[in-house]
Amino acid sequence: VRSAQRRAVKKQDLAALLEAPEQEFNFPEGLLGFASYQRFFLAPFRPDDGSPSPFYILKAPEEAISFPLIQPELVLPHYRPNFNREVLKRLKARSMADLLLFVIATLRGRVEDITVNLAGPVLLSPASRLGLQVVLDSYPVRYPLLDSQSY
Amino acid sequence: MLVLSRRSGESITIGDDIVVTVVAIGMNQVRIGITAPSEVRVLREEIFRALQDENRASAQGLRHLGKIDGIFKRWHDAKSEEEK
Repeated sequence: VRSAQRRAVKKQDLAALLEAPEQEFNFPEGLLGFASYQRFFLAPFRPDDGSPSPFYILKAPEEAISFPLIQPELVLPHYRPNFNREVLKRLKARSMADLLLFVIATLRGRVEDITVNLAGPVLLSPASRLGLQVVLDSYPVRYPLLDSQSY
Repeated sequence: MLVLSRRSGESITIGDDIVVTVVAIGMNQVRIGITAPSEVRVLREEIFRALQDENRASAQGLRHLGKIDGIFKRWHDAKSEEEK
């Protein structure tokens, strides 16, 4: 029941995120390779037909830097990495249930070549407005967005 | 680059609170122990570089996201249908 409650909390947060056109998050450590960018906005992606999308966009306001994000359970349902206490501490969160987990997609010309980065997921805390890219070296940096057998 | 010689078991300090220790020396490999404050990110260089490169590639832009969004939704629906 508790985990169901936690999921419900998470769903509410997500719903709130979906409703908000743009929400600011502070990444004190930046993202790897982008350490100087600490302020990012999260916005749901809206395709031209206005339909809801599983994709979100994390963008730095100063420059044309945008990362497409997606919730990993849509790509790989059993992706449930363990995060250590330090991660919670840095995000000022009490438990994983307070956090949103995304992976960054890398778009490429051929759809089959598009990958998500399972080694560098992004955690967001809607309560503290903090974000962090975590490094998990046991996961692949490039995992296909679309399972080739199903595609 | 500063180059220092160390024997197994010996250490190097960096600043006030980072200690790098040579734990073991093999034929082609050394084992290194690192003590650092928890806010200091310690990574194997190739992983750090791979993640930097991937982030840079990802930040290249959102061209095609509309098209990919459509393909992904169809793929995901087909997969969910399969699992039923």
